[in-house]
Amino acid sequence: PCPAVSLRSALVLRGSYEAVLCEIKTLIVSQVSLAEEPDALYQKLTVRVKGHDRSVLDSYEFFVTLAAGELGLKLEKACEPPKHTDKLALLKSVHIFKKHHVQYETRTHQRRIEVSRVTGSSARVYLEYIQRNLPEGVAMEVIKTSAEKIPEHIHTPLWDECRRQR
Amino acid sequence: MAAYITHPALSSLSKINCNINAIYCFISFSRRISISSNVLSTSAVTTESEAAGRGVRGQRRSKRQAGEPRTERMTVDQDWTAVYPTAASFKPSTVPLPVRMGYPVKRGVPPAKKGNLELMKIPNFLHLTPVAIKKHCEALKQFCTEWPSALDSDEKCMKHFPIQVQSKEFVSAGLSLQNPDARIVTLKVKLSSLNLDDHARKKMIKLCEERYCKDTDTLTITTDSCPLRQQNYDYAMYLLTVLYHESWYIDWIVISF
Repeated sequence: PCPAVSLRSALVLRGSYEAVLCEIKTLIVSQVSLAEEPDALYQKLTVRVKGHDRSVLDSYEFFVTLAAGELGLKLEKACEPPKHTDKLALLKSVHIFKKHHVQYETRTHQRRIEVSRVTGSSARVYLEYIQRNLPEGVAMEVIKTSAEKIPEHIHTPLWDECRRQR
Repeated sequence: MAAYITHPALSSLSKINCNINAIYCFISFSRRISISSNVLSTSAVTTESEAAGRGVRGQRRSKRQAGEPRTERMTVDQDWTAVYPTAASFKPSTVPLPVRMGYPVKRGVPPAKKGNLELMKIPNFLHLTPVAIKKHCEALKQFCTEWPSALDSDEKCMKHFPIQVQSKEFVSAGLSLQNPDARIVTLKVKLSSLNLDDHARKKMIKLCEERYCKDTDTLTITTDSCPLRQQNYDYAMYLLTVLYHESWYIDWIVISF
């Protein structure tokens, strides 16, 4: 069973921050409901972030790891794959002067955060929180690996012994 | 716009106030006084003419004085989450830190925070202090569910839930919010976990060709022919079902594997 309430419906924006938080809590407590369908199970949740500024990604990684710890999710690793650089050589002048070029480069830094063994509702909450606080100029890719049971129709073969051989 | 100008040789003498737009000029001592008087007279003239012009037009708009910044009235133990509850740009009068940012021109220091464009351009995390994160997570914890304690290791997970379905989600800003790679679904299953006899297993491997990996005994089905992720997932499960049942069927030509 998983709670079926979106955060968006619970947010009310008026008054001071503390009053808003109290209101949210009362709203949430009254609105949390359990759905009949079973919760999904994610064996691994990989969050990859890419940006042009390394310090922004540093701060974001701190926020993501702290949020995972606070929500009770198991953080597997938070590493920094090597940056990717795109280099470009253009002519310096508008007309002629082929010997004089100017070189530009675009650096893309990245981070990789892996969270293991998350339930579907926890993953939804965590990802929505993370994505709403994604800073400007940063792109994110989430790779979800869910674990599922073998469906009912694959348990036994369709044919019995006499029908299998024509 | 006023600019302070100092000649290194005349550093001990008083500085000159000039109403010249950001032009650094080295003036000798003999000409300093005459120029300053000239400039002052011209500036006085301009202000008088401007005042006369304003008077002729009618309303005289008095410029409102900016009050003291909010940082003066802040206490050390205040609630910072009330100052920056959501993501907002950097406001120097609201942040009580003596932050400096920018290139130090002429061996000087980085510019101060007042009117600093570099500090405003960069995304700040002032709304995501550890205290704020803890408050948010406390409110969000009610929506989270716990992982079943019986499935602590990967082997137990694989034993009870052998099928692994992998999909991707993308968040980025651009001309379009959609990413076509988000519809791709990859299904991985170990053949040892399926109910297959000897003939069925060999036929399954023959049908799968390059989608089967011999070392890890894993069948990988990647579907991207449908436009939606749900459709691709259904198609992948359909392919697995068809493969399974076809591999159990013994053809009228018995092919020896």
